[in-house]
Amino acid sequence: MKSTQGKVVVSLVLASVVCLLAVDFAEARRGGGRGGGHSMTRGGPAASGSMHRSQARPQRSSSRSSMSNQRYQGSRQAGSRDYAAQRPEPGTANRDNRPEMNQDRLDQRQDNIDQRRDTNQDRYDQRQENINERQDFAKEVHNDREEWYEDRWRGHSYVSVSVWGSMGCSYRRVVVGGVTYYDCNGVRYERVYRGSEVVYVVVN
Amino acid sequence: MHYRIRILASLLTAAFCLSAHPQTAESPEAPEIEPEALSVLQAMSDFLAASDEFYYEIDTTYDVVQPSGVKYEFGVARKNLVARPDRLHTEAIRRNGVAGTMIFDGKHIWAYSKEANVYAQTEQVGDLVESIEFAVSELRIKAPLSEIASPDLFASITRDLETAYYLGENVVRGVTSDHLFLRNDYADVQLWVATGDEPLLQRIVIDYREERGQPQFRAQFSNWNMAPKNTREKFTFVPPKDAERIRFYVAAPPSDSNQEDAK
Repeated sequence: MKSTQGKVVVSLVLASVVCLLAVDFAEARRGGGRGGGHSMTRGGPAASGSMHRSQARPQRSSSRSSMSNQRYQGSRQAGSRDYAAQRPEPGTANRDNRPEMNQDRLDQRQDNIDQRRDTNQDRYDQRQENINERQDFAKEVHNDREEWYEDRWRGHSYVSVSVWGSMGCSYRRVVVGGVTYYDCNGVRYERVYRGSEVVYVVVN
Repeated sequence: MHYRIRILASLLTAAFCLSAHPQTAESPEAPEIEPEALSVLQAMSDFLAASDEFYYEIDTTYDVVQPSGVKYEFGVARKNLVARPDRLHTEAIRRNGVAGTMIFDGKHIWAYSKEANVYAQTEQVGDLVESIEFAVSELRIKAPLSEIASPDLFASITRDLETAYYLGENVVRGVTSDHLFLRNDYADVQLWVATGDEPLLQRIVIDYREERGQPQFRAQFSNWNMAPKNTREKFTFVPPKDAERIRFYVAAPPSDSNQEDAK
């Protein structure tokens, strides 16, 4: 019988070790990323290589955290006021009122538990609110960016240098006010730096 | 009978493992900043701040999330020469072979394409940090990891920091490095900083967890030189005689798109 128990214990220990190794392995695998290729949008937030959201975007985190702090402090202060009100006046505690004191303590302990639960719930709600707010904000930023690009390029389409080369038009060079334009199949282009890339922008 | 007991015990343990897994795999909830992680960042920042001129190369790759949701990887190799307070020379070569040079000479920002034989020029206002900010936000030029040029890299990296973990030592391309995990309100960042007397950045991975598709940016650093020589000529741009001057395409606000200034 003892040997059976021993085997069970050994099995449990071995299985636990396997379990812990599995956890470590899962930890190690987390956070991997992949990329691939096909045709294509070429830009995006990851191309910026910045650790922070663009400075031009509205900063919401500070107001959010201050709201969060106010809420948390408010609940803590309310809790401490309640606690003070239930404490016996100094000098009134004696053997006669000990049962009441014990009851008070029990009540107080229950109050504290309730308050902690409320605070935890508050924190959970706040965290959830923050997550929702962050997701909304990310969505908003994404929409803003799409609108921005849409407005920016409406009526201002462009072609890359490689596409320009493959168009095969015998363009005509026109210099107006010191700026060189290229007329190709009745469309006027200007060669510009668009970000870090040279492109031909349609100007008419 | 003994056999059944063993099987039962194993099953119970396996069930325990499976129930424990999701909790272990969750990201940390409580904000936590480990002093050891901060001290590595501080040492790296101090070391870079001690040199006004330095050179490094980065091989960057990044995901671009397509409308369909799939991610494609692009890449650019860059050679950067930094001279504080206001000069920068950067050469970039994309994977498709397109190359470009960007120079901040303290008075002007120059962009030059040898392939297209064109250049653009605009006024440079402010120090390197301000100029890079201008180039990124107004000229829409990509300047990944430009925080490195900041004289206070520590402040720049730790802005809005929520989590900082020291994960241990790793060897990155033969360089023993401290591995850190940082989280701010926008991205998750992993850094590998060389241990020893020259705590220089070896690798960085940024996860844009708030962006659609959660794309990733990765950069591998190499050939750090904290005392580059004969740098003056690198910050002086003389356009080739036959090169054509073109304009930076700068968009006007959406409401005023007809008056776009391509200066």
